[in-house]
Amino acid sequence: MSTEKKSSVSTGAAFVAGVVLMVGGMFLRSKTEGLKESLEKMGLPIDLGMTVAVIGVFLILFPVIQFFFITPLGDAINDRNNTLEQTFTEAEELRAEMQKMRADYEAQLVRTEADARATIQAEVKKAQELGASLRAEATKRADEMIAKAEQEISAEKARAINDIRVHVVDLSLAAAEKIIGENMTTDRNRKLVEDFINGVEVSA
Amino acid sequence: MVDTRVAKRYAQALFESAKAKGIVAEVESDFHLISDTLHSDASFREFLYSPQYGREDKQTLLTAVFGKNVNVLTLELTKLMLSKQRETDIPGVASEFTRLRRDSEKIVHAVVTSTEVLTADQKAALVSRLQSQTGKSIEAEYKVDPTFIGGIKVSYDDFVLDGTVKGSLSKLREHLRHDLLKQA
Repeated sequence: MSTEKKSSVSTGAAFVAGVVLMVGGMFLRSKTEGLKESLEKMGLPIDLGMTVAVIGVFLILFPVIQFFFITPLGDAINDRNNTLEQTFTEAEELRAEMQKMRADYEAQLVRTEADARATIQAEVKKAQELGASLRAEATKRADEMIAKAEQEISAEKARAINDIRVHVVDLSLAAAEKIIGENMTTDRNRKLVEDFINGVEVSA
Repeated sequence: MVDTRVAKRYAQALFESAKAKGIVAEVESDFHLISDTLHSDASFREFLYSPQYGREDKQTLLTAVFGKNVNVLTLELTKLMLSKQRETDIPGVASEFTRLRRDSEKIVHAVVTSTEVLTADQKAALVSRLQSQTGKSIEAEYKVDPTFIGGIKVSYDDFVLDGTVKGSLSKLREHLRHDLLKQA
């Protein structure tokens, strides 16, 4: 508010000063023809009155220039600056947000890696334990199977040996039966019958 | 088809009648004669067992064959069995009759098997020895089985007295096998 008031005051002062300088400049030109010619002779083509008048006109026209050119330009520059500042601010915010997200992501990544490492270690440990358990179980079963197989082999061997012995007994007795049959005579048979009759005992 | 229960009933009735008349030995001999004929004569057996021939024909044939050789009681019972279609039970009646007679006389039936036919002296000595050992009368049935190699075997009631070479070898075999099983 005070800035606008101050600006209108200065604009008015500049307008008044411009009118004074324009009028003064025209007046001064009319009174300084000799000075102008002297200066032109000296190689300085300066019209002091015209210069003062032009300055006065400039001061009169300055609000117009300011209204149609400087102020919009300033506003545009300000808008541009504001836009740039906002853009920079947003960019900074985005960058900060990105950095924060990156930090979060890196922290999450670290946590994930740690979790994964812990999980892997736990799974490896579990797998090692399971492997050890399976190996122990397999070893136990293998030992049992070996013991059982050895037992079966031993039993089968004993059975085979026994079968062979039984077979030998059968063969021996068959041979004995054949030899006795070939050597059996009526006299020997009679002796056997008489021995049986004389020795027979009946249980009550 | 032989029905032992029926044969036992017929034999029991026949034995009691024969015993009452004092002709047990004669009836037993008659029935064994008929039974042996049935066993040895196939055509006679087929005729008697065949359902194609009538009862009267069978009775007529039986009377013609055995009428003069067997006791009336034997003939009548046999004809009765034919009329009841019990001809297949005749051998069973014969053996059951013998069993009843032995039970009645407290005689022990012993089957004596030897590799050679025993002499009369051997038979007498054996029966005497068995009677003295068992305290009962012995009725021996003699058989010959050359596979026994040598010796003699006596079976009576539920007892077996094995004095054969084959039996001794079998006992030895069982002993050896038992010892082998104990070692195993």
